[in-house]
Amino acid sequence: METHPKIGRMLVGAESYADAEAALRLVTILATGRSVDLGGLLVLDAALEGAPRWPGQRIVTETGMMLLAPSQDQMRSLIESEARAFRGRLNEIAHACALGCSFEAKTGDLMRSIAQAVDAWDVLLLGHRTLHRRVGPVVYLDASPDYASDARSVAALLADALKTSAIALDARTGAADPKNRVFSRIDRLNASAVVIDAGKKPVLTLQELSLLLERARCPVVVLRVSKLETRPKQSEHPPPTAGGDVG
Amino acid sequence: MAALTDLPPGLGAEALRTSCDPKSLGFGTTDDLPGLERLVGQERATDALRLSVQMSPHDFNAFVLGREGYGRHRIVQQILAEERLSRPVPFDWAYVNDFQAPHKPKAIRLPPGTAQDFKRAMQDLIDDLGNDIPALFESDEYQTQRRALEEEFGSLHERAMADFAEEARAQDVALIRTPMGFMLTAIVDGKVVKPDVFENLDAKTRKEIEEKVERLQEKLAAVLRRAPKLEKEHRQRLEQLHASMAERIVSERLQDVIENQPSIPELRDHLSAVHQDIVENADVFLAVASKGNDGAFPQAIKKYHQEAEFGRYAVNVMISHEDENGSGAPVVTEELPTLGQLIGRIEHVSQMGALVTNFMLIKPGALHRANGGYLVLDARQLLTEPFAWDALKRCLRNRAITITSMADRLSVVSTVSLEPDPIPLDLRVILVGDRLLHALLTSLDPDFSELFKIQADFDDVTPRSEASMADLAGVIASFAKAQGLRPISAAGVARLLDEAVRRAEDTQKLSLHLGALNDRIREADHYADLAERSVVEVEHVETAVMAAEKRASRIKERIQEAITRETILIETEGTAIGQINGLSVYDLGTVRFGRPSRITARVRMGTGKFVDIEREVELGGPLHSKGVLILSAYLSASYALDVPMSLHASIVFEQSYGGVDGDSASSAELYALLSALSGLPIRQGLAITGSVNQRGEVQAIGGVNEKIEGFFDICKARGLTGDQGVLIPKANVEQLMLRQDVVDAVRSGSFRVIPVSTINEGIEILTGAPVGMRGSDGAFPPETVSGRVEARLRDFAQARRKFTEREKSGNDEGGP
Repeated sequence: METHPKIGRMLVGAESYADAEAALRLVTILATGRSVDLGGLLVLDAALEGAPRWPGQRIVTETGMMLLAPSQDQMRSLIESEARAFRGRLNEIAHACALGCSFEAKTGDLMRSIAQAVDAWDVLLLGHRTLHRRVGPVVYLDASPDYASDARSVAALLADALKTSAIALDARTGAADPKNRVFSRIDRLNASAVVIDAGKKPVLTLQELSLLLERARCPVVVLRVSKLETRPKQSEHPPPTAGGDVG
Repeated sequence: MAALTDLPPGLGAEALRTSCDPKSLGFGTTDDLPGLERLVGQERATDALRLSVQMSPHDFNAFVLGREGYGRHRIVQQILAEERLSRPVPFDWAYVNDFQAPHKPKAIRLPPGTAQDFKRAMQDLIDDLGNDIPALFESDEYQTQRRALEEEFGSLHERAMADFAEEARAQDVALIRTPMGFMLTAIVDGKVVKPDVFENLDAKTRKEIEEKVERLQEKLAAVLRRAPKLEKEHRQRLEQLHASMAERIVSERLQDVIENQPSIPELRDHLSAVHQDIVENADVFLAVASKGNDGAFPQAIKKYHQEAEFGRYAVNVMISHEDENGSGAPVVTEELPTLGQLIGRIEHVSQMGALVTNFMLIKPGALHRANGGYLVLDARQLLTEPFAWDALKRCLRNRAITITSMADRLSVVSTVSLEPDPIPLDLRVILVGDRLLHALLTSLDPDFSELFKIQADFDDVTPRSEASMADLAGVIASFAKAQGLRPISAAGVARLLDEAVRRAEDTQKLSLHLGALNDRIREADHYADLAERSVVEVEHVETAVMAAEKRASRIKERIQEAITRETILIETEGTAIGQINGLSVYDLGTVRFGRPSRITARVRMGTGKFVDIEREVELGGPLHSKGVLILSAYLSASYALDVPMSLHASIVFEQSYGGVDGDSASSAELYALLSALSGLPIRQGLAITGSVNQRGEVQAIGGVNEKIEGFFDICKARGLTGDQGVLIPKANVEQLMLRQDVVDAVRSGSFRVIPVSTINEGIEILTGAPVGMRGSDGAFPPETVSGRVEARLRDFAQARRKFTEREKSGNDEGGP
């Protein structure tokens, strides 16, 4: 018999409201029929604010339009607007489900902010906007025979609600370079969400989690988030570079 | 003055009533008769009707004209019931949806009796597909294919993004997600380059970075712009998958329908359109199935065809002859020929406050039901219904039924409506109406004669003969049997035949008013029932006849009472100068009765003017005025021809306040005038009827029986003296069918009916003086009626001449 992991406290972390929205949809599914506390964490990437600008630089929208990059002032307004939308939507969900709710918005690094907050939460949902409407499978990482139960049951729950299937990606430690294989596969997979259990192997660092989010291009659900390895282990997993594969 | 001559005896009792002899009928009761279903004496009408019914040209419709109660409807139904068997059962018609133009439903012609089959087949088809299609899309086969498709297209997009991300990473470019979209920036030493670091780079490196980022921006935009195209392509592939899956199952099911339905091009076309539409809209079946099952029965036997979403595939059977195999063409009688009842209507239902309609709300009319057969309509009802006559003519002219609503015609309602295909029309219309309507339509409506070429004119009477009486007895017998009444004795039938003769107002004719005859039969049966008799006897018929007259005789009795109490002054004894009893008939619809009226005439010297007081006060109708002018012409041309007419005469119907028309009193008026001129008194025990012509001949009039009976009743009430009677035109003798009590009085010599053919005959009887003929000297004998009249007229002329001379000489003396 499968057991559901503890998901009484859920934190949604995102770098924009567009990213958060996809994760909030999953929150609605997971919170149904449960008593949970909700948290929202909007961390606008400091790199965005500090990135160099030149006349030819543009923002490419999701529909392929090219816009001028916002000025610093515009960026501040945008952050406020994003925060309002995120908080508003979070409150709506909390109100509808009679949940407790907290929200924080700041500029910085999402993963660092999460590292500071993970102890207080059971489940972390990292937001990533969806670029098309094709509903792909819900993917969960399967590292060992005894591992699958929580991640699989959550993935199955989400897949059922999204009218799709749940599939496992083989992340067993015995396999050759399991994480890199997972990242490569998930890069080309049309996943609706990725579910991992931080309390089980393979243990991911925050940098690896960030990479997973970047490659999956969909929300990532981290169960038992307090077990997350918040400091990189140089010996096992050198920190991934922003532009390269995990080696 | 010469003494009054004796009154002539008049007609014998046998001439006053030509009764039917029960023995001549040759049966005991109507049970002995086989009964006669056909009508008697209507050969002209029935032949015309058969001609109309049997002919094929579309415009030989018939107008059956005649009076109410003469069996027009019965004979029409009888003939149509016979003729329908010789014509084939017509086609069925149904309306189906036009998927290209839903506001123009298509009419489909189907072999007789197959429309309901077709309807059921389509219902079964939808019920089957309601189960099959959802099952198909739930099948592993479909799910697998669909997943493969989803994954294929999902992967296409992901691969493009992954390739781009890989290229960006390879070129040390970071992809940063912003609230507005993606921003690309350079990575130097594994970190996103900061502005101060960027500024410190040499110009060449900066330019390289800028170009690289801009190139990748374009590439990313291209990748993202491709997403809608991929979406569309995916949608099309998914639709193709659905269509190919649905196509197979729909084809299989439709093939069953096609094989079991007649091979008709229109039907095939429709089924092909249904096929295409279901394949294109297979998702509707899924949506309906997902609504679940509301009823107690399992989903598998759910009646999907009853769902509103599948109404488009239904069949609206306008006309079906499913149960009429071999019964011939339809005969439809529309009792309420409104526009909608006649040509069909398009109903609406209220949805969210708006009136909406669809092809299933097209309702057939009488023309649809009668198509291929016969339609019987009452002309008066048809003409009183707004737009109905116009619509009927249009349909007959166009030979097609086009449904138009009154609201559309009047433009009073603005809502969605339909333009159904016209249905070809091939039927024979039988209009039943009266002669006046026929005459009006013929003269005022040019279309009428074009469309209704046959007139079936029902006679009011038929010649009285042994054969016709036997036939009518057969009709009476069939009436009694058909209505479950007691048998009628031969004497009872003979009495009924006498009543038919009396109603015909001619002893040589029989009335064909079968409605009245049937009323008397049923009433007589009731009296026989009260008397606990198993056979309707003559006394029951007699009671029925008398009771019917009594029921309608309130006004008659009031008038007779007024006369006997001398409120209305009528003399029935003695003599009087210039005063005579004229006779008139009151027709109240259900009853006709006669009554005497006092007519008086006064004369004096004048200038040849006849004053008809009725006309002067506009109480006299044109026919009455005509009669007065004729009698004045007769007088002018018969007497004192060598002197100017110097008479001033006035004639009046005394105590008449309701108007007078007809010329049947013109002979009485002339007698009164001759009496006034001659100074000879008229016998007041006599009453007169008959019109007169300029030659002094007495002409036939109507209602002779009622007139005689009316005067007889007054005389009888006052006591019959033996000197009383009625002068009637000789031409009316054959129409005498008097009541038995009148006949009995004549037989006993206490009343008389005297026929006259000329005024001279009449005046001699009335005055008891000879009328006198001109002698060789051209003069009338002095003591005759004519001699006295001429002498009086000459006196007037002399007096007038003297008056004129005196006036002239007076003028001369007083002149200058």
